[in-house]
Amino acid sequence: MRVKKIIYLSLITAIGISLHILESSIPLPISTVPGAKLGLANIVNLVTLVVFGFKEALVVGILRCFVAMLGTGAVTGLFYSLSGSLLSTLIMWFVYKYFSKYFSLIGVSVFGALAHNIAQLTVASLMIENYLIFTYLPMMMIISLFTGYFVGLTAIYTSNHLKKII
Amino acid sequence: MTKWDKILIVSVIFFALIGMFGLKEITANDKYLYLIIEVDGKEYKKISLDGLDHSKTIEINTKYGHSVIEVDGQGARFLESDCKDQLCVKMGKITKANQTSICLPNRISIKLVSEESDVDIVSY
Repeated sequence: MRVKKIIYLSLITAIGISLHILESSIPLPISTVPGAKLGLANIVNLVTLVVFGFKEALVVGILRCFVAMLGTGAVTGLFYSLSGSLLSTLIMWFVYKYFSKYFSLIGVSVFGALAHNIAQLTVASLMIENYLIFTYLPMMMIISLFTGYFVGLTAIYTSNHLKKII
Repeated sequence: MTKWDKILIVSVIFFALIGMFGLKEITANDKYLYLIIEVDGKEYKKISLDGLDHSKTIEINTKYGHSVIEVDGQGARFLESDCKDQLCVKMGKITKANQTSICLPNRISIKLVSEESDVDIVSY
């Protein structure tokens, strides 16, 4: 059982890394919000959270950020992706554990996407010491609704099948 | 999708719209505009847009990278940057007070502020 779990977790991490590198080459054609992304790698965090649990999702998220940093070569990007990944996993776990009878996985992933935005903007505003970067937040919230919905929908279908296998 | 999901989505749209209207309030078009260039959180240069009838370029070299900023009477933009993602160049021109454009890899931010002009001409 333990070996099986390790193999599945490393497979999931590999999928997360490839999604992370793939989505860094798909820019969203929205010029008002620089750096908006699809958040495909968040699917992996959410699926791990549902199928395995909180600790495993945290490990997968951290490993994904470090290895994807080696793949994309963006060292400053590590702080943004790592902080976003950690806070969104934390928020998603909280919502999934205590409010899962109210929210489906779509709601959970929308919460995760919002947390991701807030963490990244906070890190960016700390790094360049300019709080005006939070003026991007309202547009990012609207975009994260769409990406969060998509991520949640994907996670519902994926985790249903993955739960049967494991 | 449950009822609470729909409530969440509607409330997010509501707060985002409030935020956008709030932003529109503080990004008012003002007569006395200043461009503030900050490098790594510290003010690097402050330029009055008032009376700038032709565009001029400012080159900034830091240990993080090299950027060129273009300023004219209406606003400012990143003209060139050697950063990898070029998001600051794609962001375009900022023309209103309290708008900001940022190059994160080079740690350069430019913002427009409006101040009551207590001097007639600011020259650098």
